[in-house]
Amino acid sequence: MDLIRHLELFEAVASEGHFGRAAERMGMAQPPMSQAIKRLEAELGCVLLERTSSGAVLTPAGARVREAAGRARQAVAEVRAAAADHALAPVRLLVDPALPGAWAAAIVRDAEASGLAVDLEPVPTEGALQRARAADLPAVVLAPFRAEGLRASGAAPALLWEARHEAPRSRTTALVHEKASAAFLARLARELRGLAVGGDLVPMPQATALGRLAAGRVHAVISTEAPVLPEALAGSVRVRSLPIGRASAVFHAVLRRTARDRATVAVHAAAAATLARVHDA
Amino acid sequence: MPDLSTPAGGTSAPGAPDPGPCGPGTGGSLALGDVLRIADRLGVDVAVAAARADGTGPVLAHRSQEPWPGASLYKTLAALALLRVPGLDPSERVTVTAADRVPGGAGLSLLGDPVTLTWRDLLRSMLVGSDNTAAQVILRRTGIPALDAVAREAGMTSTAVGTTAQTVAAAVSARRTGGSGTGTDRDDSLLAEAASDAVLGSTTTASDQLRLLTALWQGRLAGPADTELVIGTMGRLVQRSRITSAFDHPGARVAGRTGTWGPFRHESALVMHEGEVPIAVCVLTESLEIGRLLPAVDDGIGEIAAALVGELRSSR
Repeated sequence: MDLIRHLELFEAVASEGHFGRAAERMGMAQPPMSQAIKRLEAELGCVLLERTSSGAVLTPAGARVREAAGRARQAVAEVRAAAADHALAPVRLLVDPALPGAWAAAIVRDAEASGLAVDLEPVPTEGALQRARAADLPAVVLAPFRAEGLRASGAAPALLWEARHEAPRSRTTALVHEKASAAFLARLARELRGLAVGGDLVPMPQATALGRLAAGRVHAVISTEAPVLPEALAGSVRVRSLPIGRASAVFHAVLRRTARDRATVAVHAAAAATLARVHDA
Repeated sequence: MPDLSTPAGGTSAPGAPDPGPCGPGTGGSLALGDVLRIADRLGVDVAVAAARADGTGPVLAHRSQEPWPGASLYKTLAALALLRVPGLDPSERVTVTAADRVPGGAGLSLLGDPVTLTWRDLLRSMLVGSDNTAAQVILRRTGIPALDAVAREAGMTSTAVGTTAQTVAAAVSARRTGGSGTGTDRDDSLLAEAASDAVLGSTTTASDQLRLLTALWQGRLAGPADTELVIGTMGRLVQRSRITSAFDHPGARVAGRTGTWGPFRHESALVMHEGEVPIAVCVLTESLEIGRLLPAVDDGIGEIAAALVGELRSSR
């Protein structure tokens, strides 16, 4: 029997003191209400209500059961509330800070369209991988990386932008990134060499990079977002996107292969699907 | 066609202890922490197994029981199987024609005209240059069950020879077992890349490679002359950019066998130092990208082997 439901009906009769009024309040007819209380009494093995000519009166056992039933109902409500909180809590998705803003927005929008709430947390790839391996956290990371234990989506290459100084005083190339992985830097340096963008590749925040570009102290700034240049630089700096087949930032959505939580798995799948749609071909 | 669902080899050898998945700095071995740091820096996956070739001392291992596409690592088995063919004269001449050719980057696979050479030289071309055509001709003579028999004697439990398409599919489905999620992923791109590749390859584990090297060095798989021929020929491996490159110091020699396909770069080798028991080491790697040269990964395989061999030599 559905004990919680039967206790609810019993509480209704107890508070109304009348089978008919209680049945009406619960939106049912009197006979099934009476039968339900009989079933409950049989289940619990005691008489809960004394039927009188004017209605129903709680027996001493019924009074104690009513009290306990109130607590049980409260506990069940708490269980439902906890589940509801969890169901509504957004899944955290770790994203490398280089993820283009338009992609980040598309991931959140696509996820919400399929009923998933997502909060993005920018975390550089190395840290994100450690956390993704340690817990069931989905992440969008920058290749290449050690994929041990992780399910990785297909590769999603993003356009890289180059802002190049016309008359640089340095051969250093700046990469707009707070904390790029060694693996990504090595890969990108090789690709840039293929495009004759030579020199050391140094990761730094955007403001630092553009400041040094203005002073000619880096000869180029590479970023995954098209740079917005101050007017003062317009004459001395040229902006172009690098050819996608030659140099790019490649993203993958990853999640521990053993992850089971439905919302987490769904967010990873949604992020993977979005990456497959928005990537630059 | 070989049945990849039933691995070659018996079940006699105990599995090498494997500390299981771990992050840098864990697992009880400093060298294994170094291995994972190198792999992280290069952005590749890695499985390793290493131990003294006489079977004494510790075994260093990471993901050593997982099946990987081993590509040409099977060629050591092929050489041993050829030398065991009853009544085969290694100096008998064989003519290889254009019809025998299979794709490959070295040896007879590069040539267009008929070539006549001995079984022994076919073996040399297969081991020194990783010549796919020489391997195919040898396997046609031995049959794949003969390789399975060598593997069984070496105590290998999870190694099988098959086409690249079969071996990649077998290894990928093993690592997907028990996984969750819908939709396609990177493994699907890998399967698509391998789907039509009929060149012979293998599935294997780092542990199995360790067993093979150990049994070979201990002379359990061939007589003294043939053992010397195989190890000596492996010492002349053309591709020196992986494990060999890390041991170019005086007094060191490497007898290695590489395996390369798509994102996979491997080497199994005996690293020999004068006056010491050789160290058997296997390094299996997988990059995210397919079809790039990635010399840093070749280098990294050497670095990884050096870390493992260094720890084992100093633990004497």
